[in-house]
Amino acid sequence: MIVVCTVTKYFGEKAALNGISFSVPRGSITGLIGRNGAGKTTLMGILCGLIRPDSGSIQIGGIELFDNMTLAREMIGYVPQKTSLYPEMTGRENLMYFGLIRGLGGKKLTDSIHEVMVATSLEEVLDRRVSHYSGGMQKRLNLAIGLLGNPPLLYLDEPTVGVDQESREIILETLLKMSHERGTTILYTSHYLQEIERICDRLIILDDGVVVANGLSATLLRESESLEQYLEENIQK
Amino acid sequence: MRKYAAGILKEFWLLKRDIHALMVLFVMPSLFILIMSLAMRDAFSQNSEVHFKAMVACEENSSASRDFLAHLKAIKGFEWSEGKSTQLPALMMEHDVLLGVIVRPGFDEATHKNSSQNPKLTLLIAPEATPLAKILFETAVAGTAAKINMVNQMSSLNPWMTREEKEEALVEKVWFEEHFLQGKDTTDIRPTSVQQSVPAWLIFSMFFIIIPISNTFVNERRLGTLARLAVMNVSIGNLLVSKMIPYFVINQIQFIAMLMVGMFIVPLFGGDALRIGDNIGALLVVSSVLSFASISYALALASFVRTTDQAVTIGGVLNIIFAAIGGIMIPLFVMPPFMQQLALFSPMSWGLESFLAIFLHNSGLNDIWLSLGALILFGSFCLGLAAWKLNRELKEAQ
Repeated sequence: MIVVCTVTKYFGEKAALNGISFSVPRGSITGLIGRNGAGKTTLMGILCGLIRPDSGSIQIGGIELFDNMTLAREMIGYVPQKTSLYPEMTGRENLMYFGLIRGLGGKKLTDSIHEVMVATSLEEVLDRRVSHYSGGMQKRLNLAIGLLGNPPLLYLDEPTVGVDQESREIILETLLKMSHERGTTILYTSHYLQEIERICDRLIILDDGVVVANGLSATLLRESESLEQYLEENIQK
Repeated sequence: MRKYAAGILKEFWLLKRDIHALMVLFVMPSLFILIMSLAMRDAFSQNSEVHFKAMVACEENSSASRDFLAHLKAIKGFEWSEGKSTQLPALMMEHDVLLGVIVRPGFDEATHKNSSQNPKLTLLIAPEATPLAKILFETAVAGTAAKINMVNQMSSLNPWMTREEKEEALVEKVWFEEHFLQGKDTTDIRPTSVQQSVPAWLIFSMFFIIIPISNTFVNERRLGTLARLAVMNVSIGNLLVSKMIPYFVINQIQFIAMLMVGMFIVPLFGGDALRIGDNIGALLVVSSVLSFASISYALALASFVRTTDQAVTIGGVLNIIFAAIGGIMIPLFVMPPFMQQLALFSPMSWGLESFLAIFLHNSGLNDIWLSLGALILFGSFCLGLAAWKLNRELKEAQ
């Protein structure tokens, strides 16, 4: 679904990404992990088409991202780390607005709102203003917006930061369901290693702008008790 | 097209919940129009109800002094009272009278002569009297004395002149009729305070569109919504246009509402009714161009500040400065020449000049193209600045 080929990006003299290559198979949940400054945010920006790399290429669903940005982006559902919502609008209004932006309308929009509302367990609060939501509910709505229109590819940037246990469970279960039932390809970044371990079937580990590990979670972690131990033994030395 | 519709719908959803902003956009200018139209009514009125209080004391009881007093009291714009000359300064102070005149002994004799080396009138001017009041007072006193002098000289030359003939000579003659210029034509309809206050406070409130715009826009930048929208293929142009359309509608509703206040509400409180002239098309063009300028200015400002508080504070202060130098708060014609030159730097002044040209001179677009051009240039520059800043910010955000 995603093919990244020798992508390099410099900010001044510093290489944020140094010729990285990897691919993300269709239907997988891939965890993108690394320390602060490893290059995750830059990579996410490039995969969204917000940052142009200095060299290399990115294909999304077989389409060259920077040659046909509009078409490639139509496949992407993006859930940013910040709750990028309109607090003074209701949850339903937020979903309607972003749904229309996504190109949905009429029955498709209504059905899609209903679907994501159920998936993120927001039925009861949908007509309340978002400013009255708890932090967890806001994160769930943030995810729901990313799911609108059932995009084949989902980018999630730290979607569970500062979230209560109940909302965390709902978010993780929703993602697993999306992957298993819909075949959605998910690229997931988080600092919560237990979450990554729980839902991701593949891992890409970045360090200092290069990919230091890439593959199936089961293969990478077969000799470690946990992801944390794996990172301690192999990366953080 | 659906993206534009979504953007417009979203702005209306947000705006309808922003009660404070709506109050600033609609209630504030309505109140200002009402208050300022009534407060400035007499300053514009030709049948002025403004009276300068003045006192007179006569130390001579003669026909000349009596005639002088009678004719002085007939002059419009002064409210006269009498007192004794020795007590006049004290009385003036006690009764807040700023202007006084004492008729000295020998006044009657002086009015029969060609020239007098010793003035027989003493003027008392309080330090609080404005230069304008002082000049009006001096002119009134000198004019009345000159008239008495002329008639008395005539009677000296003609000893057979009767009292009736003297009185007839003293009767005020009507020397002129008044018309007001309206473009190249003249009209008998006088300009009113409401013609100044409606466009002035309308423009002021249109520029306060910064409040609702920044409330949304700053949050969109702060919460990363712009990046999210960019990933959803919303371009900066798309974003700015879908913001401009709803606020343009709001500005036009303000325009119609404020005209209505001037036409129907101000008269209910005793003020003059606003007359908008015949050139409705030109008015609509001015209102549209002003709206473009004010929204673009608000978008530019909201693109550079970090918080809504900053936007409201900086925007509010800039608006007040633009209004103060632009003839919104104080009409340009009462400002000294250098302040009138300063008004050229206020976009509010460009809009006000255009509205006043239409209201007072029945001007068309041909006559106000320079002001409109300046507003369009200003708006385009601000819009370009906002687009440049957002573009840069989206790149920096990652």
